[in-house]
Amino acid sequence: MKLRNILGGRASPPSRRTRRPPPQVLCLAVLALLPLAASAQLDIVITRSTQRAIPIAVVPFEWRVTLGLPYDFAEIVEADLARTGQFAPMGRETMITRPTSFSEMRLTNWRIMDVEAVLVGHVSGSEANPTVEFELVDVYAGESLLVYRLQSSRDAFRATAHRIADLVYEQLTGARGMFSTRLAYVQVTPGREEFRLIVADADGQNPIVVLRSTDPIMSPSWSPDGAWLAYVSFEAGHAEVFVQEVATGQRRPLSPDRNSASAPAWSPDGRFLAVARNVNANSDIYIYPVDGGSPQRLTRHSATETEPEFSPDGDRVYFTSDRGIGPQVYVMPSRGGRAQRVSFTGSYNARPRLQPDRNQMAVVHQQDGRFRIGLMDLRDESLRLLTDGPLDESPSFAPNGRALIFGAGTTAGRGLGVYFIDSGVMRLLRAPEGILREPAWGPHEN
Amino acid sequence: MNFRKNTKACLPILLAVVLAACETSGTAAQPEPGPDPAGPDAATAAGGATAAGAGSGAIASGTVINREGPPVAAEPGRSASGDWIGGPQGTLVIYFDYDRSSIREEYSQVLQAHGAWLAANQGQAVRLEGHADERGTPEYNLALGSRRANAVTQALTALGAGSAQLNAVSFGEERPAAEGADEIAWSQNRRVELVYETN
Amino acid sequence: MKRTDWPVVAVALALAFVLAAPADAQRRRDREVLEELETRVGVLEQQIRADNVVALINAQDELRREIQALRDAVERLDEDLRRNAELRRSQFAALEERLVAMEARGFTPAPAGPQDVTGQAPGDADDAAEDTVPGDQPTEAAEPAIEAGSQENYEQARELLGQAQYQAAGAEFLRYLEANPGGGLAANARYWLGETFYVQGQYQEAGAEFARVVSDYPDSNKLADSLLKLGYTQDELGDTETATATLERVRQDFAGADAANLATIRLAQIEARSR
Repeated sequence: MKLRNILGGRASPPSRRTRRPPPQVLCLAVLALLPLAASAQLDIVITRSTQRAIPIAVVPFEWRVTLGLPYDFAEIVEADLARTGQFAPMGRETMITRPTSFSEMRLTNWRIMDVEAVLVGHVSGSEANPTVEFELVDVYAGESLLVYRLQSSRDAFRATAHRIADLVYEQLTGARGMFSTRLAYVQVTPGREEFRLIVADADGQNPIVVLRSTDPIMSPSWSPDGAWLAYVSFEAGHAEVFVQEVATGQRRPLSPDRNSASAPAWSPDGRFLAVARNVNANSDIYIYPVDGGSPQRLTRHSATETEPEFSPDGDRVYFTSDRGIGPQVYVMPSRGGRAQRVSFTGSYNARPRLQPDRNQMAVVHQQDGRFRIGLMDLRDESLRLLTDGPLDESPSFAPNGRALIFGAGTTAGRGLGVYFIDSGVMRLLRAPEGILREPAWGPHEN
Repeated sequence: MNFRKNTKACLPILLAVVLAACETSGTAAQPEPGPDPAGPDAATAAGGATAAGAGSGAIASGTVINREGPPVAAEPGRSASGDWIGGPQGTLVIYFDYDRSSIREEYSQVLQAHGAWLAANQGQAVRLEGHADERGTPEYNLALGSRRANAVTQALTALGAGSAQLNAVSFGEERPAAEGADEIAWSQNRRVELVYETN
Repeated sequence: MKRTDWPVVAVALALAFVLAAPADAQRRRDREVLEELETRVGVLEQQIRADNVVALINAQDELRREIQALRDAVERLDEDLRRNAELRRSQFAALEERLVAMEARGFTPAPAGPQDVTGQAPGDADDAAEDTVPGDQPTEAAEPAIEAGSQENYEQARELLGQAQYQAAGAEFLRYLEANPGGGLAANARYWLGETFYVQGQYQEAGAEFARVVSDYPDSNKLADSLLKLGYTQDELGDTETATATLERVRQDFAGADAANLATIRLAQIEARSR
């Protein structure tokens, strides 16, 4: 996919005037049931936005070359933006005109609608390999924020749409978009007859089964370049860590011995995996070279050490240990050394995941029997609970740190919870059958 | 013993003893519907039971004697009342309290029976599968299941099983026995399953 | 052998012969009985052993949990200590900053004489007195002349304090106070003496000095600070109730002053802690 910024985007987001109360996001409504229904995941809103969403209009792109059924790029872009809770797209039926470029727009029409930003675009060139041109317009400033031309192809229409949404999101929020990323998660079929390792788009669409097993699959983890997955499989009768190339499906065991190994986490350079290895019923953290070689034992403690996570610079490893009365988060140098306790709030903080570029860490926090996802500030150790539980687990950050996905055990149902940190919106992804669990949000891939 | 020297004098005593012996073994044997006692040696009897495999009803138990005291199992794997609580036909699931890996006292006889059975059947192996309920993180539960399996391993080792016969694994919360998000389901999922390997 | 004996012998032999087999059987039965008894005892022993084994394994588990609980407590205490040390470090830093700022403003202790109205009040730079113009301080300015020798003690003590030599500083403040019990800097000297104890964690001693400032120098510009620090020491000594009352008094009596703000913060910390 070719990418070219024709005019160059302006860094600052458009002005955000508040003229009317925040648009309501539909509560408990099925929003994104796309035509691929058979394989598609259901997406449900659990909690609404607590912030004012940016009113935006995503005008359907004009196909100037269409022969068969024109692909609706704008629909995907709009759905991506709306999902975050940070944007409130206006309905198409209320659009008075449908311009396809900035020059065709009458700004007053849009100002009347209280829309702050408008995305317009058109598709030209060949039908199989069309060129998508789009422009993001700041209605009040009356200027173009972003003008791009993207080369797409028939099998990459969705990807192109997500890419456009990424660019719009970054322009309007300042944070890199996360719509072109992928998710990995485990689907457990009814009766636990089959365990499937699935890779899907960030919106839960296009799920692809990359591994099927009658034995449990656990803890998928993306390599930093997004090309590999590490995960736990029980196919040998006990927990064992495998690495698998996503594109080819080629796989090999990382820890082919009698000891069970679990909770793989990649080092930022992609050369090592931190793994919880269970020797004589004592789980400790070991560092395995991905290309083979003997593992280095990192923790040496009779308590349970598990759920490792490298710091972004790779110098430290965070992990869960129950050397205190409940599981708590500790940190130690990745070359070995003294472990220091990090979490002190309450008696259960487990499964640390660091928020990219922030001094924050997501944990599973239990209090009064409720397991909830909390966001801990690493500087002052304060804890903010994001979800209600009662059985939430396995948090994983989007690479831009603005959202996290987790295994949701809510009263409204089970599935993959997606929490958008800026808006407070929580959504639930569910499969038509079985349970989805243990999600891992993949890295930026371009 | 010198009863041969004084046969006449000893005769009544001898008879009494013989009768007594006949009586005791007779009374105990009568309620047992199975075939004849396999032999006087308890270990041999148990060995025969192993060979019989799954034929549960056909297993001999001629050595159970019944006096005033509590009934006593003389055969590895059986409870005091003669039921199988150890071995492949024994109690095969041991349940645990929430977030704990300590063994409830009620299981000590069961573990003893399994330990004795394994001691008497050195060629047999058992897989100890530790499980946890769904509460808590999956990885932490994997470790918890492992601790539970290990507790049972320790007990069986101390009660006669050889360490080569035991293989502890953990499935964490991945293979619940009961589905559901309530204490009824959870209590059934916090467990160690003894899986006797068939060979 | 008599003829008549024959039958007897024959019968005896026959009996012996007949009995020989049952005797063997008998022995076997005896052995069986013994074995059964042994088994019974063995089973009983095993049952007792099984109970013991389970109890032992559980005891081990119980120990593990107890160690975990202890470790948890130690880790939490460590963390509290670390935070307190951090807090104290920041307090030192603030203290030193204040001293440096004061020196930079040309603070020189009043040489002597009521005619000297330009000399800054010999409190620290953050004192309430600082806000008032020097001329508004007749009491301070009108203090009797300070002997040169003890003045040196005071200055030296302040210098030592700046160098974090708390014990030496404390000794100098004490020397000044002994030489000059009613001197113009007595309240300040006593306050700083209290500070030297406080920063060393000698809260009992620190509290006594702060309390003396409050009782002996009710008009001193060090009153608010001393009361505040008295509250701190009471809190450090675990007397939360009295500390709360003291800090509450600072907050009400000196509303608007730094001391009152600091008291409010500390009160909030105490409340947060108790939750």
